[in-house]
Amino acid sequence: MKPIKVAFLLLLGCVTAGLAQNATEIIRKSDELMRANSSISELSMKIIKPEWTREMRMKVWALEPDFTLVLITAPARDKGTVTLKRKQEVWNYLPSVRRTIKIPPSMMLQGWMGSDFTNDDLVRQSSIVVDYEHKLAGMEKLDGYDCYKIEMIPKPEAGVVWGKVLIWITRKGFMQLKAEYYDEDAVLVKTMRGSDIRKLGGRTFPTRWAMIPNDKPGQRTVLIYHDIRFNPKIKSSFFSLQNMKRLRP
Amino acid sequence: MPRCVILLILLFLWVPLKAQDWDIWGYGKYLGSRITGYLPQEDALVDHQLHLRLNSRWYLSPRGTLAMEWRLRAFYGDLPGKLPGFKSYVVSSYPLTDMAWTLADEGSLFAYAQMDRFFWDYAADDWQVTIGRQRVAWGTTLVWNVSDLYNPQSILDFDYEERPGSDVLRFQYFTGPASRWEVVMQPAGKKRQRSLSLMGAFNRWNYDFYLIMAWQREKPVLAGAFSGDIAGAGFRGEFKASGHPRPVDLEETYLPGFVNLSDGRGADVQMTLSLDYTFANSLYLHGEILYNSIGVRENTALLAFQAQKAGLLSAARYSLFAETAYQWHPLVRLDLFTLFNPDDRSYILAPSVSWSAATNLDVYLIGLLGQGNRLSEFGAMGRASYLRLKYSF
Repeated sequence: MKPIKVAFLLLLGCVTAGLAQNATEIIRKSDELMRANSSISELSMKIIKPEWTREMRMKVWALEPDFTLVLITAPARDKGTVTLKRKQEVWNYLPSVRRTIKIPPSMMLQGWMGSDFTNDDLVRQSSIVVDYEHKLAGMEKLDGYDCYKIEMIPKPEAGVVWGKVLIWITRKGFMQLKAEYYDEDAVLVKTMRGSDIRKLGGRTFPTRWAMIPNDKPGQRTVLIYHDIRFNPKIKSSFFSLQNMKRLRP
Repeated sequence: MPRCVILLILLFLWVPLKAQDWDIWGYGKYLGSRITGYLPQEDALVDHQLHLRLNSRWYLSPRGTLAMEWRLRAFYGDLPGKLPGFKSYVVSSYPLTDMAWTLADEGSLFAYAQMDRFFWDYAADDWQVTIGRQRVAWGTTLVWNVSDLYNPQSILDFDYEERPGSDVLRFQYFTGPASRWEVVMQPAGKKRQRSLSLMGAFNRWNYDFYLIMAWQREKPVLAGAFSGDIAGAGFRGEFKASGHPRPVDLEETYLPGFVNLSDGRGADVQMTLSLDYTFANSLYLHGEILYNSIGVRENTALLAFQAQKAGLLSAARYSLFAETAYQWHPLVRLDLFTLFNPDDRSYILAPSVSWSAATNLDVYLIGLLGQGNRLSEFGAMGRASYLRLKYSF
């Protein structure tokens, strides 16, 4: 009966696979910075609106490309809820009733409390290398870092919703600090900002990502990595219905 | 008040000693209600309920867990004094022991505490054993779980989100990531309250399937369930076939000289089918149907308690459910569902609003508006409205 709202969070697991010498080579190196065959991470999602904010904290286990397990650890009202994805199938576990519910595909497209991240952001980023034509548009200094500014135009067959994406990647370390998403009329729709550069799990990268819609002042969604392990040993059998019920928040 | 003292000691024993070995959480709720047309001699029944839930886990080892969950509820208003059998209605009863303690019972005040989970769990790599009061949650559909042999519950009891537990011994053996065997044994003093079930779960063609064989109420039971999707829509179903109920199964609800659910012969077959779809704009549609071969087609209200005793979700032959919901605001969800009896044309209309007022504070407003003649399934239920505040911690 209750709306099942966490299914899309599964897709977060794919983020670790996703965030991306010529322009294409720079994009490729940037893409590899966050790529891993497996990961275990702890992160928060903050939804910030002019009148209210909500925050959710979770632990995510991912084994590319097919398996993700998300355990919500805060807030108290959702704590202990688990979502499991195995290939195309998704289940939710509701600890209060000790019940596992299979989630149909139509329900997986729902966001969480009006987040500004869409599935496209969370899944499609893995294709920033192959789905776009890349052109170096210049060098700019951003947050004290020398950055490549690269213009990305989607290939017609890629089915990307954007008309153009501008992306700023640091010369040293190939970190994505900023991306601007334009629609087909070249109007800026939203901006992604990476910040709080730290070393986590042996890699240095922006641990805080904010997605800021252009037409909604005071609104943004922020993802913060608290901890991450790249390429830990996890077997696919870890992603099972029985393990969903055994995770300790 | 020695019982209160025992309760307090138990509560203190349960306070975390070492934070990493313990977990404690729960919620506090206020539920206000106003009911009209329910008791013939009363205009309106107004009630207030305070409800505290305390859940705890003691992690004895990486594999062993001890769980205890308490439900403390205090009622104040018209129902405790005016509704006959109020206490037996609100306190869940269990075959072995209720583990419930009355804290106050004076006129319009009634308060009690009950433990509805108390189990020890040991989880090895591919097997798991759980002993004690726990919830065995079988079934796949979202309104009527006919294959839930242990805790079937009406959707109208919306405020008991955890649902009651069962005092059982449960053994699970996992044969794969989405497949398992499960054996559940329910001991009880009376023979007809004992049961033994074997459940097999497996996953094929992106569907979950469950098959259950059981011995319950001294009769064989065969049940099953599935869950998958058709073109993005959730598609679920369940069935259960069991022996015909006997007068003794209906206990004190048997009505001599009337039509009873134990009349007739042949197996009792129940089936549910469910479809749900969520559109990209968050509009949610959900429909479900329940068929019950021994259900009656008239005077359903007379047999409501019998159905409960016989472990049925409804005394009606056919029941229909339809629901629509919409996320009107990121923090506000609107919902409307209806339960409809196609034979006596009675129905319940249930509009509701849920609002996430603060991070852990939820406000819920629901109306349960019954319509139909006095002997119809939903006509006797009156019209109720509830306001609930819930703070989770």
